[in-house]
Amino acid sequence: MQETIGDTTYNWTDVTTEFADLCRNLPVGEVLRDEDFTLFEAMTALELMDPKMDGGMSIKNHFHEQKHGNRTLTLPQLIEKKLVKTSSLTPTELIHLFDQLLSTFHMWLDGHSLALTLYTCVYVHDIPIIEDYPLRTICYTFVKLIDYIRERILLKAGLFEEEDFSGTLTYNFPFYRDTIKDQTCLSDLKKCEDELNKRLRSLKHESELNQSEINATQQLIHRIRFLRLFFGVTLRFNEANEKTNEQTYLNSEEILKNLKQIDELLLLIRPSHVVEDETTTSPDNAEMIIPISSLADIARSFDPYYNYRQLPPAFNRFIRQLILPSCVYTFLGSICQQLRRMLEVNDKRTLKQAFEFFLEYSTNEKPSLFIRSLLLLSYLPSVQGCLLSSRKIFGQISFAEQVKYEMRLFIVPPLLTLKYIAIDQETINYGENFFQRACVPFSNLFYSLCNNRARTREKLSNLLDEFSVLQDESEKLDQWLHKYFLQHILQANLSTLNAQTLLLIEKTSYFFQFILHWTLLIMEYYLLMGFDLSLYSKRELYDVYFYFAQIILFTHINVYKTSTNLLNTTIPMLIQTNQKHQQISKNQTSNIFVQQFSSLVQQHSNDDPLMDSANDSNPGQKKNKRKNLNGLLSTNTDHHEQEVALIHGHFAMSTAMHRCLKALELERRLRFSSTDANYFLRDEIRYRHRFLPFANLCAPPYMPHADFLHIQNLSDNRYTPKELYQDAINNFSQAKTYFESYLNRLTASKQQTLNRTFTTNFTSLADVESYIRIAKTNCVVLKLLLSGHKPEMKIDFDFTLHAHYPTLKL
Amino acid sequence: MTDSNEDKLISNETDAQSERTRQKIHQWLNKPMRVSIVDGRVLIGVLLCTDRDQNLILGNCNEYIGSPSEQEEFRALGLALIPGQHIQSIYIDEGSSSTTPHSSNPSHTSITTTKDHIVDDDKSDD
Repeated sequence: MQETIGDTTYNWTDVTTEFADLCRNLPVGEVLRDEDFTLFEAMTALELMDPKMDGGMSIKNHFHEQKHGNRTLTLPQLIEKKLVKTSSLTPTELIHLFDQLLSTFHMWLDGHSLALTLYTCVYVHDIPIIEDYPLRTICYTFVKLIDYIRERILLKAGLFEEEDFSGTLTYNFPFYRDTIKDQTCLSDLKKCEDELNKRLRSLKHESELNQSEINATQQLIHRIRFLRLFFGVTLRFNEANEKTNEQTYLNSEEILKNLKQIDELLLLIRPSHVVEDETTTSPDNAEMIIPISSLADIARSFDPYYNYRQLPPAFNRFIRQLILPSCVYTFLGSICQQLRRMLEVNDKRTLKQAFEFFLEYSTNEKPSLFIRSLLLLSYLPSVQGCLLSSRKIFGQISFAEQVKYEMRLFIVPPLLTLKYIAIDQETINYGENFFQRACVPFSNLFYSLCNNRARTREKLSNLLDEFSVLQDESEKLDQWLHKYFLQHILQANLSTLNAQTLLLIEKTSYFFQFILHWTLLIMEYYLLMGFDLSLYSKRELYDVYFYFAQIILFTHINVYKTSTNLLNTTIPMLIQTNQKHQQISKNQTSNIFVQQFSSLVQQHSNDDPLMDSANDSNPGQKKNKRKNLNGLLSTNTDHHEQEVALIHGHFAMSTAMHRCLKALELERRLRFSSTDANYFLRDEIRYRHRFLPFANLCAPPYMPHADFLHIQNLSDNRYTPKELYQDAINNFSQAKTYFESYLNRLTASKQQTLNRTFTTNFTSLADVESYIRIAKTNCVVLKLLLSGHKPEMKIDFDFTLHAHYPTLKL
Repeated sequence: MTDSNEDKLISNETDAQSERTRQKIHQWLNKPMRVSIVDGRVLIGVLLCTDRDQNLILGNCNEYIGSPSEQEEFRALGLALIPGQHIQSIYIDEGSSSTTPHSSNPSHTSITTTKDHIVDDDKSDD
């Protein structure tokens, strides 16, 4: 048959049956293709009749209508044909529209495109011609709200994946940027609210009370007020001063106040529920029933196919149903809660605290893209034309300054603690250079932590490369400073110095230790995230635990030892030196680095290890009781005590794990057998893949598989299962002890109730409690195994108590 | 997907039949094809690939609802895969010289069959 489509005329031959017969003769699995067409290309094809990939499936009706000439009508056309009304809308109609628009907003936040959410409302396409003042205001506000979130928050944070959010695709929709400003919307909403309040008062004074109208008006007032507050709160985030284009810092008190008001409103709002049957009532009056008959005039206000033509072909064609208003309001309530929690970041004054907060927040709240973006932008507000690393923390503190302060807290290097030394220009340059460069990976760290968890892990592995470069830099800087200080100290008349302390200072590579500490934190978190995301198969557990314990944690314990030792030994001397020179230098701090973060030091003088207040005349004798950074009472010798306890706990747990895994393997109690037949199942390949991100670091040095096997022999293989079991039992008990003492210390100090998510490094209280249970259970199971219980029985691993360490199951 | 060993087990006759099949279908590769599927849509594109189950891959594929000649609007899909089970009818325009960017020398292209080796990347250990 002949057919002309467009410019081409086809002469079709029916080959249906012939084709089917021919195809049947092909062998199973064979694919017939042209030379130039590869299977790789074939993969990119859209599969039809698949609900997810084929958008055309559902629009048959739509096309039917289109065929019969019912083209999609624009708003002016609809008004002309009197199919939709734009003036004197009743409160009920407005409530319905409001709730529907709110529902589209929710769906947009979830990731659906604008074309299928907000802009399916016909009113939004041409707001200026709407006569009804409340409706016009509401529409403008929703458009502005979405525009602000899109531009200033989601796009600026840049945390989304392509498939989760289409940030740049705006389909040429009107955003009314020049017509109306954000602040105007807020004042318009206030005006609406006032007018409606007046109307409400007059309604209440009428002789015959129209209760339904009163209720409707009241509900409408609540909604408009809610929108005003919500929009107001949103506008405060990442706010840019229009004149200077500088970041205004976050006024979290105002925001919290507004959030409280929003919460109260949400309790008052009754979500609408459209019903066909006029007689249905809501069970506990929680919802506002709207019979569909009262919405007749605005029946065509939402058209899912409105933007059909503009959608890219592979796109979802339309969303079947908007989310119910009751669900939307619950969602908004939870957003407010998350926001409130998120604002706690403003108290985090050191990098370590902020790091812990970010970890804790992402683990416990599981925030959406919107909240994650807000978190990043609250901590590091964006500045026009500036890189991430040059942003200021909270818009106030320069990142380099914060890094310096962090280093001072951790390891008290003389460069950052001796107030009255004069530093030559070259050293200053070297030092500044280093800190500026350090800003890049550190700020990237916080950026990485705000992504979704899988992406975070991926980004962390890239981050390790940056840190390895920083490690090299730090080594060089240490060498330089070593020479510099030797000179300086020899020259200066520092006869009060203890020779031993001096030696210690000489020997220590301060910068290297500091960078190593953070590198190790990232490595540890990276490996543990692998557990959280269930990435490791059973055959890899041994390798992971071994690497974790013997290489990473082992190194970290040494780093903490060094740091604690330094803090204990050198602080008295540093304070003494400062005091000695204070008079001579007439209190003028000549050390430029110390000058820079002096405001930070003053703000947190309680937390500063060098608390050099005037009354601290003899620090050696007095054990000053001061609160450490977590508000817990501690003495001068208790630096890093919590972290050290936890690290030892983890070390013991992991060691126990890999010992008992080895024992189980030797006793053939494990469920799998390793074969070399499949490339990807080979131990060496898997080992390389798992620890590839660690390959470039200079410390801890990467252990290649061959060395790993060798060390395994020395460490585990030469023992009998019984010995390994015993050692595992010992280690589990040790771990239990460490964790329990950690808990005891926390709860014993006179502290307000610690919430369960209190985190030190990457371990929260809830984690520790689970670890203790796991250690106990495993001890019991291992004792059974030690006694030779059920020798044929294979062991299973149960990660339900905690993802990081399994309980052994017989 | 087959194991390459199975090849040797196929008898000679079936082999010859398959060969004839391949040649015949190969003539139809890169030709415009009109496929209607069970829900009434019509897809017009260039046949690029097929297999035993009649799964088709069409290039430069356009989707029409109802009759293509009456449609002003169509959806351009690009590369589309049509599962064989949903096909109602297939039409081919044998006479057309290939308007596609693919080469129009069918006699010289060798028939290559693809048996893809699947790497058994199993993560489970049982």
